[in-house]
Amino acid sequence: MRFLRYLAAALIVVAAICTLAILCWGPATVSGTPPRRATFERLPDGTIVGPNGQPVPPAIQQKLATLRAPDRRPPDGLRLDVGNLTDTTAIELVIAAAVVGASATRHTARRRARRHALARATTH
Amino acid sequence: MVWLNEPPAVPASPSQRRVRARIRRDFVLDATIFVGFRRGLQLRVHRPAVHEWSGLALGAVLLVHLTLHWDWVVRTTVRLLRPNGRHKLIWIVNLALLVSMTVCILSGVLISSFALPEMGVPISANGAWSGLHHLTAKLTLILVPIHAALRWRWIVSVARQLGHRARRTR
Repeated sequence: MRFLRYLAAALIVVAAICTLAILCWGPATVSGTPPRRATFERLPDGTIVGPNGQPVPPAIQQKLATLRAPDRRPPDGLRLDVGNLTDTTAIELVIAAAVVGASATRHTARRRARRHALARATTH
Repeated sequence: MVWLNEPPAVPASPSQRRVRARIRRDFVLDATIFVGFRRGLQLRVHRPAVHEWSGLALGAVLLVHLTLHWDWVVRTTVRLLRPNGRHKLIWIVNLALLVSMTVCILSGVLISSFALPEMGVPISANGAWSGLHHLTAKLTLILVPIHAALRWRWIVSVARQLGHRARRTR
């Protein structure tokens, strides 16, 4: 019972955030037809077919044949890619290490201050 | 601090056992969310359909996570008026993470090109949602390690206890 009450409260909060976001950035509309993706596929015999599965006209076939795949090599220098597992891990590890380090330093400083205070209290 | 497996001088009471089971469940659920979030993020380019479905599943699990910790939300919100910096920081980070993840999942749903059309709900949203999705995903990527690191003592202690338990049962 308590779980359901908490779930309702959590749902209200999430719904409030969603409503606020939609009010800020505009609503979405349910469109009648699913969006078509412009994907071309090269069949084993070399024919290029369009999104509707039909071969594209020879003139366009020739034009497509001259197109080269985009160069996906990363540019020179440091560039972080959020979708890359290594980069994501690096970002997360650095942030987590910084927070844990700050927290541990604060904890140690607090413990040292407490020890000093205790030492002062016992010597006086 | 509740220990999962400290050698008990007296047998654990039913309420203590319940608390330990709850801690174990929270730990496993949190670890699942963390791994799911990272895996979903990683698959956005190469497996967009899996990225969308895992995003929807993550939304549902996050709702469960929020529900399971709702008493903490209420307790800490009430406690905010008292001067305790650490809890304030954790509360602010958690709120930012909740807003960021909710907007990320909402915008992901609105720009969905696989999951929602497959369910028969083709949605078209304006271009701003796509930018918002990328922005909140990056923000979430920054906030998740902060959220976890602020609780690192709890994570280390529970992981250690679970390790002891696994070794003892072997």
